[in-house]
Amino acid sequence: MASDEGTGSADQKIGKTKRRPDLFMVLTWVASVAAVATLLWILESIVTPAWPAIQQMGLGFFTSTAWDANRDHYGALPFLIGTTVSSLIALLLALPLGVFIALFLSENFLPLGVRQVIRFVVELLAAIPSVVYGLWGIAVVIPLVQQFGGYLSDYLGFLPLFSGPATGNSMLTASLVLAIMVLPTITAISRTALVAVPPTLREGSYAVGATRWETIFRVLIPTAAPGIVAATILAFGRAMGETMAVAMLIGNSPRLSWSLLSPAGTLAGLLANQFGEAHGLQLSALMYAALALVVLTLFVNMAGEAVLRRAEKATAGIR
Amino acid sequence: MTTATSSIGFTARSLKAVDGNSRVRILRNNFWTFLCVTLSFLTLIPLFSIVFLLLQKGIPLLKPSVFTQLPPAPGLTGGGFGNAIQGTAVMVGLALLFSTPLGILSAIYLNEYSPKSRLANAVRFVQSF
Repeated sequence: MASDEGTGSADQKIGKTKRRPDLFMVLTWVASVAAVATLLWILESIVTPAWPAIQQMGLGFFTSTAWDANRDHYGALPFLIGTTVSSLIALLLALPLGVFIALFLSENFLPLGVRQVIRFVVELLAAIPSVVYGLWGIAVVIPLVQQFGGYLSDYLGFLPLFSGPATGNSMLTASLVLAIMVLPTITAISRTALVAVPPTLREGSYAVGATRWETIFRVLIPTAAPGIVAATILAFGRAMGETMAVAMLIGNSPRLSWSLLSPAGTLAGLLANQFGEAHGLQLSALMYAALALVVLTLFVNMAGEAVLRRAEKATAGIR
Repeated sequence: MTTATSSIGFTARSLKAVDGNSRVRILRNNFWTFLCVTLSFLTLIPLFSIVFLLLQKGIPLLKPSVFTQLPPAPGLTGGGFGNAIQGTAVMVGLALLFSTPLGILSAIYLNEYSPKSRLANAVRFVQSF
């Protein structure tokens, strides 16, 4: 705790009046402890009910593919894979798009007014509630995926990735909507990194005769790379934790499939769907899955924050 | 940032005046510019699509009673979702009531009293969580 002792005469003045403990400081300390305690409390309330499942299944929980409530056998592998794969596909789609938008916003291709409209729209995408994305996915994206997925499975069905039948509630649908949902995260953090690139680097590149895009690819993006990587990792964390929209769109199937056009499941969707009517070992297994999800997203977010901190330091030295 | 090029790309007239290698570089430059601007405008589509969907389905049913009345019994029409509006407002209000004082007090501790203590680091960690 901080000591607020002055020096010399001020100290003696305080010494004469009776010194009381700083009650306000105690109050702020209690508030800070409460924040930390709340997290511990949440973790404790996940681990305690999960304990029977942890003891019974151990790490085999993450390698077993069967989630069968009737036989009381639970394996989270399909959901673990579903969470990872849906987030990775979303990133695959959103990363190039997000970086291009970040470049568009930080370069002067079009007047500032136009760029600010685009920036506003991308930020609005972050403000739309998850459940509205889910509704939009059901009404707009699912019919599209059914139609184009039908063509895909007709012509490319020999590839395991596009083998039919094309269902609307599928990995592809969920990934497409997730991509739009994480786009604002990627764009905002990448844009900050690109804007932070010192103008002297750009001027130097132009001075030796590089075109604008040679400058972008060989100077701006390499310099801003740590920030773009951090944006990607944080977006990955967001996509993994996303619950409502994915639960509405992915089909929540406990089966593993190579095809992007067939239903899959995620850890978050599993919890949202089964928690209400679960009891006994099933409840415990769900808590185990929740713990896995928390640890996973925590790990990814910590990695992202760490890279972001390093990214801020990386460009700080260049003038 | 001042550049020798126009803001979108090089003009056709300047293309004739340069040698082959430079022409390829300029064309490549313009291709990326085109791709970048096009993709940026494509992001407008999802948002417009969402707004359009909500308006298309919502406007015909929009009347003041929707926000004040309770949901109708099964099989009946009319009514509204006033209960949900009130519930959202009360829930958000209560959440703010609990979290605002705690958050501000904790922020004061972090910034004013001991920014570098172990507790302060723990609180920052919890925040990022």
